[in-house]
Amino acid sequence: MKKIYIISAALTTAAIIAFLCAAPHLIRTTILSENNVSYEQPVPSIAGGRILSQQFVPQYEMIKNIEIYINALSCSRAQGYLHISISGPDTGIAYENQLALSELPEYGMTSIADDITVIPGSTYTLSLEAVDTADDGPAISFYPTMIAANTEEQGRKLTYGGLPLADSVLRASFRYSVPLAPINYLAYCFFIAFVILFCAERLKK
Amino acid sequence: MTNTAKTKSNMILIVVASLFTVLYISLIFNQNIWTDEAFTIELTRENSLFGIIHKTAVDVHPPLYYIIVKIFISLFGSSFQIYKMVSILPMTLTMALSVTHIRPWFGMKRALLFLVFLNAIPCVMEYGVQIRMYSWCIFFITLMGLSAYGALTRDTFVHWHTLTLSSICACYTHNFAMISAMIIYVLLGITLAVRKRAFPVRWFISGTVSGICFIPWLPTLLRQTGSRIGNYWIPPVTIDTIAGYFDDLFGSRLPYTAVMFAILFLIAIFLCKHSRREEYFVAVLILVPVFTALAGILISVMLTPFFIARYLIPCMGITALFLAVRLGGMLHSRATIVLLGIFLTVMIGNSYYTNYLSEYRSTHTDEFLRYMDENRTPDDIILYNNQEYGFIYECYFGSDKLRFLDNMDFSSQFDRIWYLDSCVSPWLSDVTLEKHGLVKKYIATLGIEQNDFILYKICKKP
Repeated sequence: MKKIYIISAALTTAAIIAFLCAAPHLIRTTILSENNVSYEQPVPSIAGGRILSQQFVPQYEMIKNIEIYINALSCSRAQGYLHISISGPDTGIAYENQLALSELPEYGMTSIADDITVIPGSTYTLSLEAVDTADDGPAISFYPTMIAANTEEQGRKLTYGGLPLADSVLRASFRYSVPLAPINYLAYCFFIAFVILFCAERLKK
Repeated sequence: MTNTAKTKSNMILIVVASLFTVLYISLIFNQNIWTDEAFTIELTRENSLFGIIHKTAVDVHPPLYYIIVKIFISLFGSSFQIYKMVSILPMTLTMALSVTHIRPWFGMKRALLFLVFLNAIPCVMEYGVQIRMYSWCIFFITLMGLSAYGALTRDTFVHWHTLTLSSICACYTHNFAMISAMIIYVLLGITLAVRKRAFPVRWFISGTVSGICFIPWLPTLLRQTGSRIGNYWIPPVTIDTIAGYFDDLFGSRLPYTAVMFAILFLIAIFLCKHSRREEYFVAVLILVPVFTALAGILISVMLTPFFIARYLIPCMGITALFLAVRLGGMLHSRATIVLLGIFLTVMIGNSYYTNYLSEYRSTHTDEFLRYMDENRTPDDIILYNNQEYGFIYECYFGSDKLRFLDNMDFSSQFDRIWYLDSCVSPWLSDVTLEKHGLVKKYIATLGIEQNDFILYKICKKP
């Protein structure tokens, strides 16, 4: 019987070490950073070169997606696209994407950028522009107060058509993919240890 | 086991069950309700017992749960907390089965494991505090499963009687609990026939009595089912939805929780043996959720989509019983008991924390209600444009000053309108407001539980 425990302990240790090495990559969770509740105003148009830009400082390394509030109810979605770019701290483009207006929902929170690796604590700029639209294009919501800023937007600038919008922030959600807090690994470690010991005992019998 | 040992074991089980009950109670001190809960509140506040039976006949669920709720709110008042307590009560009753049935039949270790497994299954704590019938279904189906085991092994009048009664209650609480009850009867009948090699007369009598007692509701059930064919809200069953059932029930915010439960099931099925011959019936009981799901899928494919994962929640008590009895019988070393105990305790903590966040931290309900308390006067009108949410708002504001946008007469007398815009059709155009000399002002983006809306204040133009 003692032999079983020694073998189980060795197997468990090996399995837990392997698990702890792989876990930060394999087992991740999401953290969502949203605006606080406040008044809301839509930007009338981001077509015709009137670019809307929001500075932000990411909290974690891996942004799973960024969502903004789009209202495309009153615009033609037959042609044109939404150009999204994120420029990094070294002024280079960290991310670029084009979303056809025909793919946008009529209204609501819409994912505009996925899977971006960033440097936490550095300042980035998210720019939005509607290109080749038949009319003014979709409206994008922002909050005309800093109270509504999420952590990323706190103390950062929102500009519209090159002009700063005082005390305003883009309505945006930042969803991060982060490794689980180490305390949570305990559940997996105890489970692994239980399964190995239980199976070893059963197979011995 | 000596009497002192029995008393000591029972005391431990009672203390553990009480602690879990306290955990459930700690989740109800909020004002959050979602659409189905609002339906329960509206139905039971607005109708007499007869009215409830009449209205449920029009809806899709049987009436027993609503009758229980009506009795409780008539006795103790109709605050949200009383409604939620009505759902916690059957959870406590289910846990009490560990003292009355499971410990005497399967031993202390497995009774304790039953309590822990029951509350570690993530969906159980979620639905145990909702103003819906699922916790009552868990109680009735678990009691039925245990009574079936009692009838099989002891064959006493009490167990047959409890089996019959609990099956009738299950049938009158939820349609898929009825299917689970039928499956328990079939499994018991086959087991008895194989074991005794004779026709099981008592089983037949019990089943017939249950069937006869359900006959009054049968035409309603058939009519309800028929009227929903082709126009029910549940999406079609696909391979993806079927694959998602297990994750819906056993998944949680901790990734791979469902995978860990799946491994426990595999161990319980393939690596465990029953320590006594008659315990194989507990292993057979795990077929109840499997066959209930198959029946649901079959009905959904052949008639119309009628089945979603949460209709398997009634089977979670016997699922916990299966895991406790199968695994508990094989836990011989202290090390395995401690490891499993710690793992399940972490799972309970995880389940509780998930539900705590969902009940207290995930919505703007408190902010919304506080704002309305401070700013709304009795003559103000509450206007909304999502018809489905009408009875949710009615739970908070009553029906007197509540208006659906299509029925709103803007030329009538009012001081102010609070407009809850869910960003769906029908839309309130500025032209309409202009025509009546009104203007709307954005207040905030708020919500009640899962229902987000933009709050506007509409007043006369200055």
